Amino acid sequence: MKKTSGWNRLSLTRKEAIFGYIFILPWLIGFFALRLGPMIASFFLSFTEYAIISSPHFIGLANFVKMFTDDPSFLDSLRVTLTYAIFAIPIGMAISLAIAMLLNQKVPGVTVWRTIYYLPSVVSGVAVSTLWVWLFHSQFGLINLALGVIGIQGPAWLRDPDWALIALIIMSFWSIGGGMVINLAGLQGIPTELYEAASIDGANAWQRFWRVTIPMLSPVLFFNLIMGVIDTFQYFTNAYVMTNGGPGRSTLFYNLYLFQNAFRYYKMGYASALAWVMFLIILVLTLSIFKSSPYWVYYEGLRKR
Amino acid sequence: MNTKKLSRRNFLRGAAVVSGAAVLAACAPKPAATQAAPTTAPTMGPKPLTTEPITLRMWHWDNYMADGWKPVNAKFTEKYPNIKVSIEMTEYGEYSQKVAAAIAGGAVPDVTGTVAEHFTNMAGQGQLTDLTPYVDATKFPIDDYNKGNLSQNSWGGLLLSIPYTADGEWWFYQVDEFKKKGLKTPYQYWKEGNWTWDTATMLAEQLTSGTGVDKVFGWGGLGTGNYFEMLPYLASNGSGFFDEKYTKCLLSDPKSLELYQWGYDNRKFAPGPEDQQSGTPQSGHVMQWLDWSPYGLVYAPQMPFTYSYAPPPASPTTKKFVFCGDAPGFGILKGAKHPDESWALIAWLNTLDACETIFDYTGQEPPRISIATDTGLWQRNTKFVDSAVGLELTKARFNDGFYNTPKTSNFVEMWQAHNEEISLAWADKQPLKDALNKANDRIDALLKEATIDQDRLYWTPS
Repeated sequence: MKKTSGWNRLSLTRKEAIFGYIFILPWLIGFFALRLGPMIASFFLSFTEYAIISSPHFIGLANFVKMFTDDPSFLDSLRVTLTYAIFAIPIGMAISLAIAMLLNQKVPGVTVWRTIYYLPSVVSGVAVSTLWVWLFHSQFGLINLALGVIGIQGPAWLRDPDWALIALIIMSFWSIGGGMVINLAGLQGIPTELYEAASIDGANAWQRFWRVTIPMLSPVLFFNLIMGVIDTFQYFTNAYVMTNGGPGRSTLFYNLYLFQNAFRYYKMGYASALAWVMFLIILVLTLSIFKSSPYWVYYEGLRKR
Repeated sequence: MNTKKLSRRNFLRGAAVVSGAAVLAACAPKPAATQAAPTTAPTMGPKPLTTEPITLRMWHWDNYMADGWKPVNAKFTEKYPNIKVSIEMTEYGEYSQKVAAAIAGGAVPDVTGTVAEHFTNMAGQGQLTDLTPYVDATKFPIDDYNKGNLSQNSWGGLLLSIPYTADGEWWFYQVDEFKKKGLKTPYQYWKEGNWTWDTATMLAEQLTSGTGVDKVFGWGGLGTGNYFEMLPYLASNGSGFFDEKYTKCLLSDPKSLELYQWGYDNRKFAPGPEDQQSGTPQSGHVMQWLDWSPYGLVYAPQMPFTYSYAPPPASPTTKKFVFCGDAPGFGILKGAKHPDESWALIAWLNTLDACETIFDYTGQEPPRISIATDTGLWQRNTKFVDSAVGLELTKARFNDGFYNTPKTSNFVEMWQAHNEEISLAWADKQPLKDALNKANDRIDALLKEATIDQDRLYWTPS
């Protein structure tokens, strides 16, 4: 009689599951080695003094105590990041929604315009930062030249501590193309019957926007808001290339300050503590937004409150 | 014969198993490199070098220096045919990070360039090998090196790297512009004994012309530059960055304020960062600017003007010239695979012949006292712009003195605090005195948590 091997004794479902895990094994290895592993390591390092080139030694909560009691740069970086978030996120969302609505019109050549508005968000990184350094040049920059045409003397944008953060906020609108495309997809998913019904009921354009468009688009806006909050706390490249946190500490973003501590001052333990505080802040903000969502996010199929 | 066809399902299963195994194999950790045992001082003369074929990795940050090291390394390989040398360059701003990553990853180079904050970081963490046993065992001519330069390469009483040069950071100027305006040059003022901050201000004002896009600036400016520029001026005026016992920062000192006030009052004659962006021949190299001596050779073919040098101007109060105490060197990181061979290369780079070869190619002042001020050496170098003046300045650096970079483990963070506060003063967002006081307080706080090697900062022949 033929012997039945252990493998052959397994059910088809179990065999399928095993092969499923084998197929996702590369991702699992990457996740544990490059994500979860470093996260756990940084958690333990946040309780140590660690200079990378020497062994970590345990100092308890000293890093966290210092952060909240004896580090003005930490508070400044938090202030800069939150100020950026308060202005850049809602204004960026509003602009991307406005452009999406314009691009949702049925006019000839609208696909060309959609591509044009989306392209800047594809170009990113150091090249864009360098470009904007020139745009903000107080003498030769296009922005001040344009302001000069209408009789306004532009500030020394990136060299003036009062204007440097505003310059970076303005620059953030360069990459609204990504949000615009998502808004556009959301707009195109709104049933036209709703607009027709609203028109029949006498709603004007503004009322149709507030009573139909916004509620139906709210899941998309919710997603863009969450992603905007997360991206803001990870803001780094532009500040690093264009201002390096200056003048003074006027553009010292949280992530940039974390980088300075880790890779310039070799305070990896303190940087790890900063990273975990950042994680908690993002978590709290994200959970708050989720908690608020039942009050303003409309999902078709969900029971009305 | 019973042949079984390979079903699609079995094929996919097999492919999954093979690819999973391949990923696991690729991700398998490499066997740990065998670390070289810590080198102890040979008790009976130098150890014989390996006869195995090896390649020594030599790390540095200045690309142009490779021009001088390559022929020297080639001669080293002629002498030791089994030992090749590979020079690996990393941009200065990233150098510390690369070294830190190499140490953390257990893949340190053999010969490591060291300078200023890179040195204090490595030395403060105990990562550099004590070279004293090698010096003693091989009878290295250590007495031919300036004590102040050796101090910059020592920590805790241990010699951790050997200087390969001693830079003074000279004051460059465009000769033609002075001739055009009928002005005496900084060099001439220096020889007269009248080259001070006040003279520099007078010249800067007279050399500045034009407005807007056409403005030409009379000097390079001072303020939030690198610390190599600022520290000697503090010493010239009787101040310093720290007191000699490293108990407090001296930026709040009235004498420090006088220096910064000088820089602040003369901003109008200096290009700002945006002016330097504009890419004109003036940007970054206006009438008078501070620069490293070897850069003269690097820049010479590219400069659209003739230039010469003078020392950085002296304080008008003290009339004391103080040079920069920069003395980059080469050391051996702990864990280097071939420490004995690395030492052999470092010693080779410091032979008199090698020093002259490097000087010929790069204009890098030799670190050894016996040849640094040798008139023949400077005269033989036909590439050096104004070699007679270069020789005078090299002698002056030894005779007048220089100010070393403070040896604190967190000097980078201290200088960042300095720049943050001073930049607000330069932008007229806070009074200069407040900026210096705030910078002083922040640096004092950082001093409390620093690891320090207490050694003289200001070195004079006395």
